[in-house]
Amino acid sequence: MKSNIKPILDRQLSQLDWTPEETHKLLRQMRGEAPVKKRLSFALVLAIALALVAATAVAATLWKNYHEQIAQNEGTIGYFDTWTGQQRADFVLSMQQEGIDFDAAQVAQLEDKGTTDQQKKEIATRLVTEKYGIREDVVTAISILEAERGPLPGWSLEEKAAYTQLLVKTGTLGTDEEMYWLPGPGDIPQEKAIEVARKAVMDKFGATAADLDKLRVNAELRSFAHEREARTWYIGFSLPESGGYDPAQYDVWMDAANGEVQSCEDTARKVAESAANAPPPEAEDLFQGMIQEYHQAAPFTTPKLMELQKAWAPKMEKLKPFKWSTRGMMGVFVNLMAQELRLPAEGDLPMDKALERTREAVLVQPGWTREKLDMYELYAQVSYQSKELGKPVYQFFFNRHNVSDPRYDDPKDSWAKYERDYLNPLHALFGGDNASTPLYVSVRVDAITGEPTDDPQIVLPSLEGPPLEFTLLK
Amino acid sequence: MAFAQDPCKTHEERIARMMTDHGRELKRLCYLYLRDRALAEDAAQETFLKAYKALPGFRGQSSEKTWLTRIAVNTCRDMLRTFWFRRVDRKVDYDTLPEQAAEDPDGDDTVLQAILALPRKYREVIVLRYYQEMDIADIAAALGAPAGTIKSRLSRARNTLSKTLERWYFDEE
Repeated sequence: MKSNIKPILDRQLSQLDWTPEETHKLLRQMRGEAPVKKRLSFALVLAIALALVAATAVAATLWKNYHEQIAQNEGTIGYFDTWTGQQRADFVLSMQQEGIDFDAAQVAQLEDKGTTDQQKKEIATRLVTEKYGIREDVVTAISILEAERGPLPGWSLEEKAAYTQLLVKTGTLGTDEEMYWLPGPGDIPQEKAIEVARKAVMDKFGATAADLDKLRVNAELRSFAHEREARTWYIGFSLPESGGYDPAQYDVWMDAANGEVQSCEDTARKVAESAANAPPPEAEDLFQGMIQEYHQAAPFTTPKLMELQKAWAPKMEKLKPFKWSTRGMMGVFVNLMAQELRLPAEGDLPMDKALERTREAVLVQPGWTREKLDMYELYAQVSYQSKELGKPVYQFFFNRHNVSDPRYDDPKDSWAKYERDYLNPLHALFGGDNASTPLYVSVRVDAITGEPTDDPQIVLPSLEGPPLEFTLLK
Repeated sequence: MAFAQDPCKTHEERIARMMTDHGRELKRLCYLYLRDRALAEDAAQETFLKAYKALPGFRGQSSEKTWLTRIAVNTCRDMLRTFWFRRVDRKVDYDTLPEQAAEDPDGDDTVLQAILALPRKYREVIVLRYYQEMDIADIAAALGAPAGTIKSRLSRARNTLSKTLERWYFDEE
């Protein structure tokens, strides 16, 4: 997991906790000692008041009755997979009446009064899922519409607006869903919006009119249901051959009331950059190879890395252009492999003494204890000639255990075993959460004196931490 | 986690441990889903009540966390489908957010706000992927949608988020 979102959200939602009182209360409810009482939130009270106001529904002519029926049922009954056999049969019969072709013999069975509800359920489900090539639990209004008309982003302005109307009419528009509109008196016209978008792209990215003429324009006038008055024109410029949910070359968003550009992005370039830095297929092989070698060597030593340097030189060369993450042991490994490795020479401090000095250097760091350090395993103990310092050094890495470690093998769920036996106790030592639990600790010491050459690098999972190996292993 | 490996002897002990281990995260997941603190608390409690009833049948086919997440997602979805919920003005403002979100020590709640502002179908895949750290297959199973749909929704959601979350943008997959 390379995103930093989880720790940020955890910090921002830290007031939402689970207390022992809640556990106690729920256990009482489970035992039948206390009634389950649900609180009505302010939002729900408000909803009851709002529901007294009749909604204006505009008839949508683009859709057939069965589209309306499935959307209606989703609002009143639930999704298709919760319907009874009769409800499913009615839906299929309605589709057939409106021109959807089904196997006549099976349709006759649905109409036969002697067919049981269970049989109707099976027949109707089979007919619908086979017709549209979708699973029972994703038979929804939108999936049927997309199966019939292609992905929603490619629909016309009218079709999208009609879809919103369908949801409004059937009372199934989620209040935080996108609403699509046809331009009204308060909106700048579509042609104007496209003109504004073209200018924005040309000004910001230097595209020419001819460049843009080659692209397909996708226009949407939209808002979120809860901000229905704040409408936005979205103008996407896409390659003609692209479709569906493919990213556009340029995305422009503007206030529909006055054409003020809110965002103008060259999305395709960002996507391409991201793809360019995606690990090549060989990276996965290298990662698996590294794990395998590590489990045999544990820890990596200088002779072992020297051996791998020779054996893996061609593949390492191929992977050179890829920018490795600055976190995790793969990045450390790749950087170690790029060092001028050397076997300890006469006059160097013995490796075990250097390791001892290293542990001492970690233990004097604020908050560190032997118990904490012992939860980490020695990943690598390496001797190399530091180009940065101009002298020989030892470097040691203490790493979290890996879930692939054989001690966590479990035919049913290795991750759960790893979590229970290692990760949770480790987190507990560092305050209970992942964000404050180091991924690894690294110390570099002078190979002759054993003195640390830098402060120990304690690498946390957060994005803002120091990119250890790239600053140290120059 | 398979039942046979669980050191807890009774279902009650087991569900109590699950509450301790997963309660906080599930409540936050429910909040990210429902955007309402009171509803999130109800949904988290409902999740454990359902889990307690289903516990005798849980044999560790998935991890405990994935199993509970599926129940929580379905509970939140049921709430979202209710007649009343659809008619609520659910525009998020600081009054409805947990205090800490409004008083973040770094003074930056961009990530939370951006995720809460996503339409539900994108919010749910982002939350399951990046908050619950589930893989595509598990998300697909939890949401009852094909993996391809999940991937395309994730892609679209990331695309939307990238506009506001450049500092935190994803570099994976």
